[in-house]
Order: sequence, then C-alpha cells, then structure tokens
Amino acid sequence: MRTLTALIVWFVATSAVAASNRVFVSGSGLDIGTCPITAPCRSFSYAISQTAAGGEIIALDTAGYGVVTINFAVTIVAAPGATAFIAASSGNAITVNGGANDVVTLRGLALSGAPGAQYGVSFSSGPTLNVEKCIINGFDLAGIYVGRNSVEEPQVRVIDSVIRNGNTGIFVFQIMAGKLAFVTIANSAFTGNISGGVYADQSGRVVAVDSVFAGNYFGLSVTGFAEATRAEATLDRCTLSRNHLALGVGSSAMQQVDGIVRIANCRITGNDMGVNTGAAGQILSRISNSVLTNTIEGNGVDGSPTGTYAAK
Amino acid sequence: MLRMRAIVIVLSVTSSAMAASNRVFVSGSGVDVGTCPITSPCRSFAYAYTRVSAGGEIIALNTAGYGAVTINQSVIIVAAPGATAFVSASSGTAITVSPAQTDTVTLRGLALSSTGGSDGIYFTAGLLNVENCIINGFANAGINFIASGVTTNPRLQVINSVIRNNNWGIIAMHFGTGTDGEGLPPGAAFVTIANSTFTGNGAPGLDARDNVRGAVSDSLFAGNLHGVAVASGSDHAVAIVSLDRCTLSRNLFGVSAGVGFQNPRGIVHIANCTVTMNSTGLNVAGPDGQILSQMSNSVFTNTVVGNIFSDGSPTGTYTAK
Repeated sequence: MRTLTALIVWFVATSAVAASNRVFVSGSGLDIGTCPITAPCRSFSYAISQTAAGGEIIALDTAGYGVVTINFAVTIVAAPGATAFIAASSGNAITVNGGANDVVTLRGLALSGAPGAQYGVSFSSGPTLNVEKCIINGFDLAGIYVGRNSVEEPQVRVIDSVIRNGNTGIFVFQIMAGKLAFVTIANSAFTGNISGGVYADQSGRVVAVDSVFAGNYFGLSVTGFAEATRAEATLDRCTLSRNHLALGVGSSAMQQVDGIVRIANCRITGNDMGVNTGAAGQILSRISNSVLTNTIEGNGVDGSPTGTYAAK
Repeated sequence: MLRMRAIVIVLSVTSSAMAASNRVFVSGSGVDVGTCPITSPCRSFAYAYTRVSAGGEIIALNTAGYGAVTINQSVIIVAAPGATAFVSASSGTAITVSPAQTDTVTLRGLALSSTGGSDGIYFTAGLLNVENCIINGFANAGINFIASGVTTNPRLQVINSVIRNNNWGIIAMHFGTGTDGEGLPPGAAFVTIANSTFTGNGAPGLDARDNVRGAVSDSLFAGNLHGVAVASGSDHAVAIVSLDRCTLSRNLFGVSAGVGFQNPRGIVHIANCTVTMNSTGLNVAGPDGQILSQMSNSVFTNTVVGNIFSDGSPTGTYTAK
C-alpha cells in the first residue's frame, strides 16, 4: 500500500514535469494528457501547461481556443489553412508576462474582442514579442498594448498583420526614465480604430514600413511630455487615408507635448486632416538634393511637414 | 523449386528497392513501407526520400512532424497548402543539402525547429530554393551555407520565409580562390533573399563572408546582433551584398561592413532602405569595409535616422542606372 502511494506520488510528479517541445490543439480535442498530435488538446490555456519553455503550440484546425496567459518563451501558431480564434468578452485575449530572456511568437491567430474585452495582446513583461500574420479585431482598449514602467526595453515586431475596429491599434509607451519601448511594423494594416491606428506615447519608438492606416480617428499619433520623454516614429512607404487626422505629432490635449515623426515615400490623402503638429511636435520629410518623396494632398486640410531630414 | 523461389524473392526485393516515383507522399498517419503513393502515404521525409526519383517531389499531406532528412540529389519537398510540415532536430542538422553541383533542391512550406539541433539547413553545393519556410531556434544557424572548391557557383534563394531566434540567421561563405576585385570570383556563393524576415538571431541575421555575392530585397532584419554583416575572412575573397527596400530595426548594429576579422573585406550597396532604432545604424570597420549608398543626380534614397547611439554614414556612393 505504501508502495502504491509512492507510485502515485511518483506518477503525479512525473506527469507534472512531462512538458513537450511541441503540443497540439484541435477543435475536437480534449484537455487531458500531454497533447501529442495523435491526441490533441482543446484549449491554449491547457496546452501551455504541457509545453516546455521554448516550445510550440500548434492549432491543427479552425476553432476557438480560448484566452491564454503566457509566462515563458513559447510560439503559438495556427497551421496554415486553419484559423485559430481567441474570443474575449472581458480582460485580454492574450497576456504575455515573460521572463527576462523569453521570446514569445504568435503566428496566424485571430483575436476577436466582444464589447468589454480590453486588450488583444497585453505585453506586460519580457523582452520580445513577435506578432506574425495575426488579425486583431474589436478590442475596447488596444489591439496590442506595450505600456511599461520597467528597466527592460521591450520590442514588438508586427508583421503581415491586421489590427482593426478597436479603440487603439497599438499603444506603446515607457515610463521609466532613460528607457525606451520599441515597435517594428511591416506589411500591416490598421483600420477603423476609433481612437487611433498606432499611438506612441512617451519614450515610444516606432518604425512602420509598407503599411496602411485607414479609417481611424488618427492614423499615427506621436507624443510625449517633454523632449526627454518624447516619442519618435519613422514611416517609409506607408499609406494614410480616410483618417480624421492622418499624422498627429505632439498634438494631443496634454499640456507639454513633444514628438518626432520622419516620413519618406508615404501617401497621405483623403483624410480630414493630413499632418498636424502641436507646439513641440516635428514632422520631418526626407530630402535629398531638394528632392522630396511624400504625397500629401487631397485632404480636407493637408498641413505640411515642419522640416526635413537628409537621406543618406 | 527452392532455387526458383529464392530468385523470385531476390528479384522482387531488388525491383522494389529501385521503384522510385516522381511523386511520393507523406502523412502524419502514414507508415514507412512501400513506395508512398497518395493512397498509402509514408510517415517520414527520410524514408520517402529513398522512394523518390531524382528531380521528383515529396509532398506532405497534413500537419505533422516528418523528421530530419539528408538530400543528395535534385528533389522538391513541399507541404500541401494548409499543412505545416515540421522538421524538428534535437541534435545535428534538420535538413542537410549536399547534392551534386548541378542539382536543384526546393524546400517549400516547411517549419524547421530546434530542440537542441545546430543547423536548420546545411547546404554545400548546387541550387537550393527555400520558399515559405519558417526556421526557428537553431543553436548554430538557420541556414549554414558553406561551399568549398565548388566549381559551379552554388546558389541559395530564400523567398517569403521567416528565420528567427537562431544564432546565425544565414551564414554563407565559399572557401577557395577569390578575387581582389569586385568581379565574380572563380568560386562565388550566391545568396538571393526576397520578402523574408530575420528576427532575434543572436549573431547576424545575414552573415556574408568569403566570396559571397548577395542580393536582398523587401526584407526585414529586426532584433539581431547585426542585421546584415558583410566581411570576408580572407584578404582575397571580398564579400559583396546589395540591399534594396530593406528595413533594419532594433539590431545592435543595423548594417556592418568589414567587421570581425583580421583583414576583412566587405562591401554593402544600399538603396531605399530604412535603418532605425538600432544601437548603431551603419557600422564600418576594417581596412576594406564599405557601405555604398545609391545615388542619382545627387539624390539618395536611404533613411538612416533615430538610431540610439549612432546613425553612422555610408562611406561612399554608387551610381543608379
């Protein structure tokens, strides 16, 4: 009998540590066991309890897989051809609370927020978040939230993704003095966000290339409280159309606002207002031998860059 | 009678060993027996490879792990759209490509990942196409392209792929006789990259060394040690890489030329690139490191701003045509 008890203890202990490098979920799965491909589980939150640090969770077919909190390095990916939904009606669809060296990758997911859902992805701690081929729709506060007061300088990379119909698409800031928070955006679209597509607040740094900002209240807003905490953004080959304000720099209601946006090869058209700067805001247009590269026309009020920066 | 039976058995074993098909199939529910027709797919790439004729195709029908494989003839390995064909390596190399110099190998739709493996792809000769692949987490390199004495210049072409969280993203070199000039060396290593993403690699995203001639377009390098590093280890084997419409952000060094060896020679041509949020944007060192910016009628096309410690500057120009 004592042996049997010992055996049970051993078994429980063993199964508790039996994490796999690759675990699977399916719409027809069950949340038991270790989620091998032959017996996939049902939810991301159970599957992650069976995943080794640095491992992968793979959604095999189209289904909703539930909200999940991530606190170690992991990749969550939908097999191409499957749409892995996460529907949230309160809180966050995905909360990322990684450790100091943890890289988290989300690929091919569709996060959808019902009224009451706050963030599609809240990136609370950890150095690196990759968002690849995701759709993030309809969150009350932000699609991706990178708000920090930390020595850690987070970086988020958003590639081939769509963030739409929420309040703010991406909201990034860093409160800790002397520290920054970074967002790299490529081939992505920000549409129909009732506040803004991308909002870089104090000490945020953003680069966006080959991306579209359409039908938001503002396309991109860059602010900060003073020069020391201003946010900066660089746009290349971006289109900003049909926003209320395409590009607003240092133009929020806050008293001391400051920010820099540099633009090259961008099209800003069909907005109520094209570019607009507050007292200390700067919009710099790339110039080389007097040649400029941006199109800013056909807006209710076009506005103008405040200055230039030199191409190299 | 006995002898006859023996002959028949020997014959049938011999002929099945030779029965290679132009198109073979693998599935997560397959079994590694027979010739892998679509009606009875096999389970592993390694077994299926023994059943495919030179120049044929191995098709993964559904999402599963298909195991490491060594390739030494022309072949295409492809995941059916909608399936993810994993290859996981717990040691060594996930896919070794060392065919004849005239062979062409294509890998499409594969997801290579490491649980202790060193290289995602180890490539030595011929033409290798990497299309729509994900290569993640290898201790050495996502793609380790090392040629030596290959008389037909080997070529690596990477399209629509993601290479992340490895030590090197791609490291490429061709040892052998080089050239002091910028013309083609007797043995080059060609690297073409388009529409691809290199992120979080602990060494360079692309490390172009001896005798590399590289063309990279519409690609993103973010969060690597160097986004792109170009430097030969030999005095007479200059590496040259051209970047167009590339974005280099949040690397320690965005673009490095001539950095890292005793007598490094490396030349980078850049046009229409965005280099920002790196610690250092453009980084040139060594006696023969050069970053040349495209120029036409005194007009430049690169954005190099907003780097944290130093933007750096091109060392010179080249003329648009």
